[in-house]
Amino acid sequence: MSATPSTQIISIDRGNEAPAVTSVQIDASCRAPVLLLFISAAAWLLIGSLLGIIASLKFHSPNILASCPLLTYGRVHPAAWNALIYGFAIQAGLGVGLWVLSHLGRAKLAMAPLIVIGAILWNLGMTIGTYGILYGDSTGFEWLEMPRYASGILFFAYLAIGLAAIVTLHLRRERELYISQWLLLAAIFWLPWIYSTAQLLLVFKPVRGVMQAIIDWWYINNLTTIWLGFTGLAATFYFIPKIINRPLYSHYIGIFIFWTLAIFGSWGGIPTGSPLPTWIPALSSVGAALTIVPVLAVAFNVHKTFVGNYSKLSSSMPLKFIAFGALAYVLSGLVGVLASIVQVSEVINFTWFTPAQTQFVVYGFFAMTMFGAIYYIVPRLLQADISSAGVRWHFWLALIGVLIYVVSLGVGGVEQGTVLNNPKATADFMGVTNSTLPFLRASTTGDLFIALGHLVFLLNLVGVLVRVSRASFSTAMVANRRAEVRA
Amino acid sequence: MSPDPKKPLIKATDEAEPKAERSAAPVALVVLLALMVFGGMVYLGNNAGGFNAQVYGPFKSHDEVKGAQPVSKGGEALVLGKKVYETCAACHMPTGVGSPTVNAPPLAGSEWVVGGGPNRIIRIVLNGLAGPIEVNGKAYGAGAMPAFKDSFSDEQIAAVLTYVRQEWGNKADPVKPETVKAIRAETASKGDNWAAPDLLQVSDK
Ligand code: HEC
Repeated sequence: MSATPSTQIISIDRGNEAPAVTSVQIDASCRAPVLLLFISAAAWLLIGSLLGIIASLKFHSPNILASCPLLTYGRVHPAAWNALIYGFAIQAGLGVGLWVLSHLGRAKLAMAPLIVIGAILWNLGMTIGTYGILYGDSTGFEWLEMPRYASGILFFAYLAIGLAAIVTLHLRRERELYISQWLLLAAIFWLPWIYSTAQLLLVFKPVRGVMQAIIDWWYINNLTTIWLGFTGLAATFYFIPKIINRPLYSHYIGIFIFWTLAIFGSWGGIPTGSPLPTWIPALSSVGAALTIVPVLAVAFNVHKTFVGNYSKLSSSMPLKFIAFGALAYVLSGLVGVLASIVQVSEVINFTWFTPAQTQFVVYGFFAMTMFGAIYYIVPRLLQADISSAGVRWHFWLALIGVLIYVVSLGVGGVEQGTVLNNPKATADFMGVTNSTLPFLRASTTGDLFIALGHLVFLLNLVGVLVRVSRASFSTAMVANRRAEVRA
Repeated sequence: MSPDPKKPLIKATDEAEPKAERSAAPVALVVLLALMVFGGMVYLGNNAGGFNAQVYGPFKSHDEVKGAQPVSKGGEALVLGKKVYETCAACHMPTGVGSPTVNAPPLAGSEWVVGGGPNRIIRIVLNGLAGPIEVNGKAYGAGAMPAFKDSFSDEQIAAVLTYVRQEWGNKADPVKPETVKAIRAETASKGDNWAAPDLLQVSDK
């Protein structure tokens, strides 16, 4: 079976020395830590979207829950967003990353107990941080709202999990590195660097004036473009070849994507209209525009891997999620490049376009890719299928929800920006703001779909867990009874 | 953990980890990157304000920023002049109206200050002034003004006189440090205060 090994998936038979560690054994080593990360991620996702709906309602029905200070917009909105990013995205990303690292290295997951401790700590930090935001202790910096008594816990929890990931990679038995391992390793190191820098310069020893805005924008962009981007792409490049059972088209394009994103992608994020010396936003938009190259490279590499096998999309739900994620990555990337052009950004600056774009990346690309990966991994961890109807429901709810949300706010934002830039209309600022209401109502509908999808997601995971534990309980009972009878 | 034997979830492909082919990256990608980098450089050349920290939008270069800056005739001298004037303000008052208690005449609107060139007032500040003097039709003379030639440099005297000639509605040309320097050299041997009649002999160009 190995005429041209370089174009074949290297499989079980490596001569006679069969691999000492099988996939099943690796899955067993991943079971507790990875499941813990996934279930907590799903729970935070649901919490986040419930808070998100409350925040979204406030735009057109400001009286709802207005008497409760904990649930005012300024607190609910950041709490929802932090739950989505730190509660869901990072935990899901770490879980998928750990599983992929151990499988690609064909070695058991290292330091599983440390990961479990890390995950528990992380969720503790998340709980404290969310309460902190709701009680009014927010730091006021976008994406870094959690108060310092929570961010410290998160930092060390991450280090624990990151350490285990690096040790797993180090102890790998398959020495040759696959592109996903490059991406994951970089992501693992990137977050502690940007998180500690941003915390130090914004919260613990704050720099002055507009420097704060620069650092926050830098942090947000790096978290999205690099951490979410690398972790998500690692999954894309792992699962698509794995599921359609064909090699990735090009290793070199993968490396090319890695370096161009790491070098240029990390400059972006500073809006053109910001009150800074012009060279800073100018350099930033050049960086953002340059990411068109890696984005096209991703499209090319994925397409070339798929070509001739697109029909396999219909047979695998995880593949559907991941392919949608890849499509969203490319589309949102192109929209991002478009938005970095001055003439365009003059229009969409300070409008609903920006949240639509962020949601497209974070949800359309990253979350969808993670859902697919999780639906692929969990049945293997538990040796049991997830209800396929449930998965299908989740897919369509999420897909429709994200499309409604992104399209309505995207179009609404462009319209809002065009009217705002018309000097005559700006006099009637309230009128312009009111005209965005239909779009906001539509986006709340999108949010509702997404939230329903999240409920289904959590139920899918809990459902299979309950079934598995019931089954193993009853087999244990049967075994017990037999033993008694025999005695 | 007992896998259900009826449903073999782990297929053969599960043992196979994905590999990547070594297909070469298309040249077009590298060319596109090079073109984008070049375009980026051009863009930065035109829009980055020469990487100068003082250039903010919507300006594109430091020269543009400078051009948009309001220019005053005295420029930086006014800032220094205002500082030096704190000494004069003790007698001539911060608003330049003079003071009856020390018999200091006003500087605001004084023909001595704005009348012509700075030849006479430079001499007044260098050596001081005593004796009867008429300012704007009123007679003064009971007080005296001390000499400042040892207290202030040429720059400081030029600055304070520029300030005095451009404040409180006064409008006259700035005073150059070189002029002060020349007059200081010319009058170096004069030990006493000026008297108004002597000053009137000095040409006021
Ligand atoms: C100690 C008080 C005092 C100080 C300090 C003083 N002056 Fe005078 N100044 C006078 C008096 C008194 C006269 C009028 C002298 C006379 O009566 O002959 C005068 C006259 C003048 C005159 C001519 C008359 C007029 O009002 O136009 C000028 C010009 C002048 N001073 C400028 C200055 C400047 C500039 C300074 C600061 C560097 C200064 N003086 C500091 C007391 C002072």
